[in-house]
Amino acid sequence: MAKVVFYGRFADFMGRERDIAVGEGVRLETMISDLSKENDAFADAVKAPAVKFAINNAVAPLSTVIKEKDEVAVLPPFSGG
Amino acid sequence: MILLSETPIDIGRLHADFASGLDDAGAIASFVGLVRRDGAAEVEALFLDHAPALTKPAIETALETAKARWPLIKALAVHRIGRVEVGDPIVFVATASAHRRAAFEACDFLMDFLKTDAPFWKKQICRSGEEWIEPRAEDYADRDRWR
Repeated sequence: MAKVVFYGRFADFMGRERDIAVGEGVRLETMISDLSKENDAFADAVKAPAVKFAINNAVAPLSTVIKEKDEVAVLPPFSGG
Repeated sequence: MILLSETPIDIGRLHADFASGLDDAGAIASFVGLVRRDGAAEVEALFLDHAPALTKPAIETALETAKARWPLIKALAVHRIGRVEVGDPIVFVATASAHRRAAFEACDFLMDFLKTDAPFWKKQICRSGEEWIEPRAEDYADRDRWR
């Protein structure tokens, strides 16, 4: 299993976190694509260019292969200050 | 130094603490960001989400970048998390240096970083409902001035 954590508006769409079974060699983009099937608003918003993803607290590209026990963070465009 | 606070921050005390013992500093620049009512929107509060394992390290990196770029004696960023009421400070940044230009520019740089590159997410809570806010094009343009 991998843990997926959603922040900001994504948490409103998907809940804060969940555990997801990961198949061998599954890439982050496939995981996000599968999650997008659950919620149209998430599917639309996650495509924005300023959206980032982190794996085990380091920003990672969509091509990254997800491994067992990874923590995946789904990060909307940052907005502080 | 970076501090994330779930409770209201006391700007006077933060500034006084920051300024104490700075015998070599000839200048302190500081910035306070406030939650504004925003006219017709009638904002009641903001809610600040953050990613505990990502937010502090990102700001620490920005502080180190500022210290490498300008001759700073000291730099501080304090950011609220959770619910912040209208009129309350949401962010406080202070920089100290021997001369004013470095302090001004580093403070400006750090605020631009916090607006667009620090892992925070800001929800506006209005009388009419709630809405997540994202940076404006101007915020990204401000950030890009430093590249």
